[in-house]
Amino acid sequence: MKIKNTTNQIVTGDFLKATMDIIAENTSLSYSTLAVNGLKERLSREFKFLKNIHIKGSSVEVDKSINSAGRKELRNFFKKIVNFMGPSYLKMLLAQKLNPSDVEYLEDLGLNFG
Amino acid sequence: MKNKGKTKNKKIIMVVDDNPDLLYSVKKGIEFLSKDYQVVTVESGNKCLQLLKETKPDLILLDIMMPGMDGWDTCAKIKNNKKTGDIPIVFLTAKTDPISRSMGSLASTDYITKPFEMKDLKKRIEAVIKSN
Repeated sequence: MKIKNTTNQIVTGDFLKATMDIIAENTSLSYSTLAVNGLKERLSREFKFLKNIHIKGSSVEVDKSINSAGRKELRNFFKKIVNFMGPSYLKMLLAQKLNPSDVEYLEDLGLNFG
Repeated sequence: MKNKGKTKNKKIIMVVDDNPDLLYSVKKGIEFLSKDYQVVTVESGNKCLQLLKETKPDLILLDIMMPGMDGWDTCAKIKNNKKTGDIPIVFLTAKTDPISRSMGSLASTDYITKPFEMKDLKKRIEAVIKSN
C-alpha cells in the first residue's frame, strides 16, 4: 500500500511520535516515554512487528521490515493504541498532529478520524 | 517523611502528596479502618524516591500536581527503576478531566480523584493489593 510515497514505516513512526507528543504535552516527557513503552510491551505478544519499533527517549525508530506487515494487523494495532488513549478528543489531537498523508493512509487502513 | 519503620505483617502504603492535611487524614483514616496497613507519608516526589532506597512499600498513592518533581515524573522514575518498577502506583489527584484520567491509566494501576471517601479509598487499595 502506498499513498503519496507514504509507507507503513513512515506512518507508524509519525503516529507513535504524535502519540508520545500528546501524552508529553499533558503529562511529562519521561511519563510519555514510559507510557508508550508500556503500550508497546502490552501489545508485543499480539503484534509481532512491534519488535521492529525502537523507542529511545522521545525518539521513535521504525525498521523498514514493518512495511511487510498486513493491513488488518496494522489497523488493529493503531485502533488499540487509540482505544488505550481513551476519549475521542485525543483522536482529534492525533489527527491534528499527523500529516494529511498520514491521516489519509490511516483512514484507508480503516481508522476513522471523523 | 514520617513513620518509615516497618511493622511486622502489615502492608505498607506510601502516600506522596504536598498537602500535609491530606497526608494526615489518609494515614489516620486508613490505619483506623484497617489494622492490615501501615501508612507512610512523604511530602514530595524527591523525598519519595529517597525513601524508596530504604523501604519498599506494597503500594504508592501518588499525587500529580506537586511543586518540584510532579507525579508524572515521579511515576516514571519509580517505574524505570528495576528495584521499584513492580510497585503498584495509584494516582490520587485533583485532576478530574478525562484526558488526565486517560493519561494516568496508561502507566498506573488505578486513578482516584479528590475528594474521595476514605472507605472507598480503602476498598481501592485492597483491590490493588489483592490483584498484585
